[in-house]
Amino acid sequence: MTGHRLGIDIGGTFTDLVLMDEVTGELLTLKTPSIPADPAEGIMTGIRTLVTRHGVDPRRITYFAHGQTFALNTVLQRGGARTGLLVTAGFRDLLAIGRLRLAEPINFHAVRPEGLVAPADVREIGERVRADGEIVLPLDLDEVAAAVADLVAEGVSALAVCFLHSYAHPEHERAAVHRIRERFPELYVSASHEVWPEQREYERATVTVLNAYVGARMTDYFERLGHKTAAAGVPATLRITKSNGGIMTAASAAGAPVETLLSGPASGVTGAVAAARQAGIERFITLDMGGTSVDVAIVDGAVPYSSDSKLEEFPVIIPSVEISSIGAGGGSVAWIDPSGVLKIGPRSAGSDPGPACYGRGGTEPTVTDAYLAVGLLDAGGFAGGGLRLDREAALAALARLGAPLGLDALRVAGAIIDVTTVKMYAQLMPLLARRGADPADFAIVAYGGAGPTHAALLAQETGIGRVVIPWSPGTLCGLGSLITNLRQDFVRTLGAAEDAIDDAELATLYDTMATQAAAWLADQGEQLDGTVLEPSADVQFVGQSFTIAVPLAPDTPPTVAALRERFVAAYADAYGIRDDQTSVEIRNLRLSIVGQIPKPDVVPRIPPGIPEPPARREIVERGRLVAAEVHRRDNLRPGDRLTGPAVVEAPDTTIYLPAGVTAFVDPTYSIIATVGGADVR
Amino acid sequence: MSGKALRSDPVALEILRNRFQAVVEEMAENITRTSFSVFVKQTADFGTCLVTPEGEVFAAPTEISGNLMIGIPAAPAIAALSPYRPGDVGVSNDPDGTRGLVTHLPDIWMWRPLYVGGELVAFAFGFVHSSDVGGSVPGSISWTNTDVYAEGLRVPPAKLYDAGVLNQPLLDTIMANCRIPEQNWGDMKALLAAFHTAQRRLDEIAERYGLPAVHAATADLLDQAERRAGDIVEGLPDGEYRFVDYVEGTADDAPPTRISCTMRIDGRRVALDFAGTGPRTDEAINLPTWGQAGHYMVVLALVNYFCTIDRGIPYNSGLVRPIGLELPEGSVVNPGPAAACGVRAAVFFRIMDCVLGCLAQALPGRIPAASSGAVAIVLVSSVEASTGRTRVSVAQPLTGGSGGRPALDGIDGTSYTGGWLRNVPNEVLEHEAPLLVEQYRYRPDSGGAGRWRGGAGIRLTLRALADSTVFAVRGMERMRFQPWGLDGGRAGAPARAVRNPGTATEQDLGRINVLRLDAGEVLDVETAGGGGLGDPYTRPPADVLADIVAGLLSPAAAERDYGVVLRDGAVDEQATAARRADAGSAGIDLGAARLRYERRWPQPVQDRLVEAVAPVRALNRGRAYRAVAAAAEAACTGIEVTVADVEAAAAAHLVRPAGPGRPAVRTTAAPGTGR
Repeated sequence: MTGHRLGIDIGGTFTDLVLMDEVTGELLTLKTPSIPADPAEGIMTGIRTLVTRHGVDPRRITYFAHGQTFALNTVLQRGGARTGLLVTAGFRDLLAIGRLRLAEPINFHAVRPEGLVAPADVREIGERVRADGEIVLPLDLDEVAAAVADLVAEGVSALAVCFLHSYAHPEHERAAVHRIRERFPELYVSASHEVWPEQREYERATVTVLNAYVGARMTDYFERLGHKTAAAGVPATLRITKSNGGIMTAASAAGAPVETLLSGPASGVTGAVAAARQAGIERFITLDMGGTSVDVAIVDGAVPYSSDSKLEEFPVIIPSVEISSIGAGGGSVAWIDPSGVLKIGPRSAGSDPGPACYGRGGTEPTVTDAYLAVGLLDAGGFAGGGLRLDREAALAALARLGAPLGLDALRVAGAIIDVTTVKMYAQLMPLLARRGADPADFAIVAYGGAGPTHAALLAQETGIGRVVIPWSPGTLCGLGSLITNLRQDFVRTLGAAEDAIDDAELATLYDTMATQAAAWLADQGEQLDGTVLEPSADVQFVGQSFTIAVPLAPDTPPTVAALRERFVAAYADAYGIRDDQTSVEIRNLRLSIVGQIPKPDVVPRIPPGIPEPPARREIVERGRLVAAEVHRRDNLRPGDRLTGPAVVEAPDTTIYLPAGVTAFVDPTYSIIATVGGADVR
Repeated sequence: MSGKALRSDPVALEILRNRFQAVVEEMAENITRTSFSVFVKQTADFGTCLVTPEGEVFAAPTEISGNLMIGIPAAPAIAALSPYRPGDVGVSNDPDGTRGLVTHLPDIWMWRPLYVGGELVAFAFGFVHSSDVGGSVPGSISWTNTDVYAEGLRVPPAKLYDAGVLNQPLLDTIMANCRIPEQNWGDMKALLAAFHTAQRRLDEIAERYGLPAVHAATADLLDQAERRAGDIVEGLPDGEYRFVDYVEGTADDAPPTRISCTMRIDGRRVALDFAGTGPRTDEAINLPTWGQAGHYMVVLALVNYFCTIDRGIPYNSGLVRPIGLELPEGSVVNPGPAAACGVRAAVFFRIMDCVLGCLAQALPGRIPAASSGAVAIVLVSSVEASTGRTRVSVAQPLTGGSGGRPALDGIDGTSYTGGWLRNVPNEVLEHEAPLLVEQYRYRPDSGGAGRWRGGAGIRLTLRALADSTVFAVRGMERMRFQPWGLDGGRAGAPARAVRNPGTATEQDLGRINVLRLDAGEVLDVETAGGGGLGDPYTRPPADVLADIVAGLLSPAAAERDYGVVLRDGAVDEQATAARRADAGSAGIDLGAARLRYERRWPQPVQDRLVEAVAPVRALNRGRAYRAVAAAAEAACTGIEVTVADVEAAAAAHLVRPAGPGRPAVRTTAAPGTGR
């Protein structure tokens, strides 16, 4: 470790660069405008700035990790390839029927989102394999070729193939894609048994289609970016962040772009986990509040993974860091409903026109306008001074909103902040309940532009005792990509009752998966500190139709007895009933491989010089004007203590510590705040 | 904006609304997380809410449960166990004892008073659909149960906990009378956990915001919902609108169960009058509403309509305050004591159709056409060859398309009546049961034609791979009377079930009920399509072509129903224009079977039939209804049964005892009453 690590995160407005010196652990962060039409060029602008302005030698960049929302946006904007789908005959409506359930059964005007494959681009193939592998109807490769030729003639440029039971018996699917790739080398082809071989045809087909839909675009993009960075003298292989919080090579990502779809917030969680661990905190809620959303992950000792995430209404069963949205962000618009009640969101002013205070023509008050009005934000210091805020515009918008309620601008601002807090509360509490978690046992790790502004307020509302604000909370996603690991997940469906399988079979299966995992890791070509195999299983009682994910001992083939014991214990934990009689059934065996990349300790780059004393400014808190200490974050040093009401200004965020909150700066420059019990009005 | 001033300050109100919502969503999560039953896990068939001491629901979850809390009659259940002490918990699964809070026995309801500083502030209510509460069949639900005693254990309202002390004998009695005692107790404990959360959160809210603010917000939220619902009703044209629909039922030789709804809109109030609805029946479809004001299973279509029109309307029982109900005693929608009610959903669904049918007359073109109107659950049981174990799997839930909607086609494959249901992955089904799913797809030509077409039904073809594979199917409906189309839209295709189609042993299975197949045999089920909305000739030919390409419509049906002619895979504009020069269609399309039935049994004659048996005791009225209908039918020599036929049959079959009293049925074994 003697070079630089470069982490890049492309957002809609800005491209964030985080450069870490592997020797000292020092961080340098940089924002440049994104170029949506050519994201790679946006990155190159950033790299050139690093070279010219900060004297970085590109030849020393030996680690280069890239987070992107490009694949996600391709799906959201329906900008992917025209994708065809081959399915087993009898199942042409597989994608459309889905799991049937309506998202909003009480809305007579509910609309299902547009699918990624037009119904006309689905072809049924006369083939059939049973659950036990017996072939009922043999595959006719000429039929496959004819169907694909037809689709290609229609204009399809990507293809997904999902035959029934291919998760366990992929012979038909394998033969079909082999023939297709031979005959149609220009097609981007995804086979469901390659993308994610798990039982459940709709979900498997969905991830396969997503993969095909974005595949060609992502492959192109990774290649173009790789050429550009190489031409600029960067020797590092391009690595792409994954939805599971890990990374993989761009070559792997080109074949499995679906694994990157939910990567943006996942990297943020990785960064937050590292910051929390450094502060010695194991149980916490990550709070990522930006302009349009508030995302949380509940970390109870370990990063939470979900195998039933959603992208719009599309299920994504490939494991990803479990992140939930609990409301709208700083751009959320405040309004008065027909009953005369103050409401926030869900509509957002976005960044254009943005909040009224942005002075870009927005006239509706937003949460950000409320922050500015009550004095939490400094008109001149927002976004490191990059955007001058118009407080008068904010006050005018707030006053207009408040008039019918008989509230002046400042009172409306306070009300907006209070309602925003309680809305987050209302979404967060059921999420905690779903996991049986008590907020009093958790801390909040806050990041994103507005997370540190609102975190202490949310903590007060929920009875959470501590808030951690990492260094550089605005670029935590980029940082996360620098200190993560290689990580890949594997699954095999068994669907076997415990008496129908023995330890030898389990060990064989485990070994097969471990071999596959090792091959994946070898392909990544990374120097590693170590490797961990993390097996787990989805287990249920025979006859029940819901499973519990059971983690198993690392690096060890599981045994039936161990599976049973761990499942029964987990079940007792969740449902309060220990049942040692009923047989258990192992639905899926899972294996994750983690290639541990060496990590330096992260150290913020602090400008030299003697810290200035804090300033003071009046802010409105609970309807009263109070004097708050105003600190600049780069003036704070480990051991410094802060007492609310206080505001800490940083280039990427503003931290708000209300009255009753105290905080200190820990050795890694994180601010750790202690929030008393619920405040009293 | 309308109505009187708020008691609360508008900011505090929004804060408390969010807080209350958080409590009920958290309760729902507690139940999902800790309950046992497959029903709860798979179909979210549970509910929970917060109720005022007077019995009105002021907060209910919208995210994860079955959305059936608005308008529950909580007051009689509360009164049944009054007075309360802290730590009390009530329990009941008795429709009669709770006066319509419970509507069938598998729903185990519980409630707990919530106190702050010694003051009873609210009740937490909840139920879970238990997979078994005893009775004649596993699962406790069978269409053929004729009285409630066959449907399982009935627990009248009782304190399961009295000031925190468990009533062990009661619990033991419950456990001793069901097939899955541990699971039921697990589900009850899930409700207790949710109630515990409710008390804890209410304490926090009261401490932080004060009880006066809580009281004010509760009242305001109910008032707001009432006012905004009233505003919507006020926007509807005053008048009287009637709609009749039928539950087909099991008896081919008996008249279907008639649901008649008359909607009266008068200013800010809307009344639903079910006069003319058929009597209580010996089929297990009675809906024991006990005539409760705003009963949740009667008002759902209106509540959904309110929530569709006003997306931000507070979701509480204030929504039902503008609604008046007339539920005739002894009718299938208010059957009185001890009525079999396991499959009361069949009537509940048809009530929704009737209410929408009325609304559609008030607001032509702005209400969806009928949906498939049924939810059938298919259970497959088979014996595992290797272990000898009997395994029961839930195969696909069977529902069909929704009706065409204003400016939107109907939803394919599912509808509002079954919209919360999830299907089972076919790969999982084949893994668990000895079945080959030969097709699971949308059913072509099933959605009713229309400017906005009805949603397609589903076709499910299952081939048994082992002998003695048994299918139990309950709840198939709309096999005769099609989902109706509106404003020129055509009726959707009726549901259908066939054994071994296309073979010598082909057999129409009707409603299935129980079917045993041997290896190689096939069960082929098609669910109904939704009705269409608007004249099909006005549907753009490009949309018709898109349906053909998507496999939802055959070219023949496109030409027949839409007047769209294809040539070489493209629309033949000229031929289409020529076809469409015919008159288009207008009005309601009830479907051929219903027209035939009502030609035989005109509405006024059916009205007279309902009236004629009205004096009979509720317990016997259904049998009298069938007896009189059968006699009138037999006596009728013309095309249609007449009022005179009915009156003659009634005079002959209903004995009026001397002196005051109710008439009885003379025959004890009249045709069609043998079940």
